[in-house]
Amino acid sequence: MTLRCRLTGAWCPWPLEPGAIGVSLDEQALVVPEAFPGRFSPLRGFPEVFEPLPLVSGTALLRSGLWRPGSGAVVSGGLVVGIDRLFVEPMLRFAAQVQGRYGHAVSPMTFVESHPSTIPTFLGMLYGLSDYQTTVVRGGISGGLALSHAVDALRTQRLERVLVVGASGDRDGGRLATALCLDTGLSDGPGLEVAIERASAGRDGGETADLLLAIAAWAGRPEPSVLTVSSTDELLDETVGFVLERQGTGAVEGSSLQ
Amino acid sequence: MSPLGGDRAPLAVSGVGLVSAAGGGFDRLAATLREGSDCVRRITHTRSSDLPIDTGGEIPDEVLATADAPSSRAARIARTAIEEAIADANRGDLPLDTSRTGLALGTVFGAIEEWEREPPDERERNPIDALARQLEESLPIRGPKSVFSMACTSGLCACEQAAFDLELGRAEAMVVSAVDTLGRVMQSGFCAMGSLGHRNPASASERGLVLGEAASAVVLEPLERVRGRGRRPRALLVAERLASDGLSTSAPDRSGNAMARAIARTLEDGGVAPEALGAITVTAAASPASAEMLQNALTLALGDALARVPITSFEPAIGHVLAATSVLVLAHASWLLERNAVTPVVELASGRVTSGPTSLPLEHPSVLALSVGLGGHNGVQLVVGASEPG
Repeated sequence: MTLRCRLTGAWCPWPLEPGAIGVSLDEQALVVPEAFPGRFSPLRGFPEVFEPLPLVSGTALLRSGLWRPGSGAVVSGGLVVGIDRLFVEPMLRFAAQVQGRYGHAVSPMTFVESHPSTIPTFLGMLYGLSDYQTTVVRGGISGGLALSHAVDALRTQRLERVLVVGASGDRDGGRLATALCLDTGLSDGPGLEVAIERASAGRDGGETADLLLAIAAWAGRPEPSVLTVSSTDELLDETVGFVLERQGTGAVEGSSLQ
Repeated sequence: MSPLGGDRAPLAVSGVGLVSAAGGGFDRLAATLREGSDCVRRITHTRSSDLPIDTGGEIPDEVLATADAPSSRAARIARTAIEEAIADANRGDLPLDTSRTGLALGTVFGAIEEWEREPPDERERNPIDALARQLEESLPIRGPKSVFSMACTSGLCACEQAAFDLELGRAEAMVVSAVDTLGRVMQSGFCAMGSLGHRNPASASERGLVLGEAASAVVLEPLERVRGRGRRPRALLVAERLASDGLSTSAPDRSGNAMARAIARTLEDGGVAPEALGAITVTAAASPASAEMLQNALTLALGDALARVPITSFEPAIGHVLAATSVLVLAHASWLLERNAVTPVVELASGRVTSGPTSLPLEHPSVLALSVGLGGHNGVQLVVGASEPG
């Protein structure tokens, strides 16, 4: 069963590496705390634990025409986040805080940040996303299953528009984050029109990669017309894959690998 | 609008399972609710004497003693609850086909109590993956698997995936389970947030949330398939919605606007008018902020009809059971519908069981189940009697 939708995407690593990221310097300058009046204090930086998710989410929404910096407006749509380790560091930090005798060193904010759900909560707060939200956690295929959940929600008409965000991290704090905006309500406009279908559960071949990153990077190139991509978690012995086909010409500006 | 489950709707609850402070099995909770007693006591399985609040709904040791196999406390209680739900669903002429049965799981922190102590190699992943792996290895379920962590609405997200998997033909039955344990991290965290109260809200004058630990499970199947197996369905899950406040990473929006929106959409999806509601089951109502939000949301969404609908909750008996709430509300709603009674009756404004009768007749066969998650996530599920077409 194929879903047709419009797609925009963005990705980047953390710490930011200028010249090697899927968002432009112009876009980076737009997604800053000052861009969220009434939603986030411009006096505060984004919490480091969530970086670079505000940037990739804002860039994907910006490219879709759904969000404008400084508007403070609500973005209508769902939000599905897939993560593997992003909440682990605050979780370990909080666990260390409560190892000894309970006291003032125990930080409620660290506890909040250790919830996987706080990532969509924070992004929802920034962009005013107030429809269905969830977090998928399933090892190396978290991003792929987040996309699958979002595609299911669109296909069954539970949602008309979804922001899908994926982040993978390593134990040294390195991260790679990707955001895709899928919209079934628009027949034209910004972004790329695609047909998207979940591949069978087996190992389908095609490109094996960080699934959301591969899709965002593909959307930024004018070809190939079809992308077959899957990701596998060896420990779970589970694979998730998708086939995407562009329905016209063109590309999402700025998201290609450089 | 396509109904929940699409052309395979309505989805039936064909089995329920629970491990909670009341003991192993949903029947133990049911007995506790009927008696009007509670199972809140000092937490003993983890160090708690230095915490500002050291009471909660802790699972009795004897329940865990019989639940062998998986290494973590969370996986052991989840497996026990899931096995009970499957056994319950199998009370028909034909059992579930486990090769076509999937598992959708919800949890906040997974196997965090043991994972903290694991060697570094094991900690390469996270405690939620650890729970899923332990659980899946010990169960005969071979269908699609997924795990959601959305605070105390995690179970609702798992239900959503289960409905997708049934509608899109990936499974013939889905086990939806949610679990969290009451370890030092969880209890300390809620203490630090200032959310907890000293005593069971059913009997104390002081207000505040009392946490509990639990694993809850339901089996969801298309109604037609349940009947085809010769099993009488317990209830039907006809609609559900989740709406988020989008305002804070911790506190709920006391206006109740997002919850009211979720309630209105759920009732519209399910084709049930506010006047036709038989009961509302609520969670986290012992928290003053949540109670105010729920009261405002229900007033906004139901208007004058609210005054005629009894409100109930299982939480006076076993505490607020974290991720397990939004699956347990389905089991609780099914029980109310099967008994045709609302037990216990709670007063939302005070978070207490009313001083008068603790049980009222269920005047309409439809129950609205509300769950709330940290950070302003508002879940609503509509459960109707199995004799109703939905």
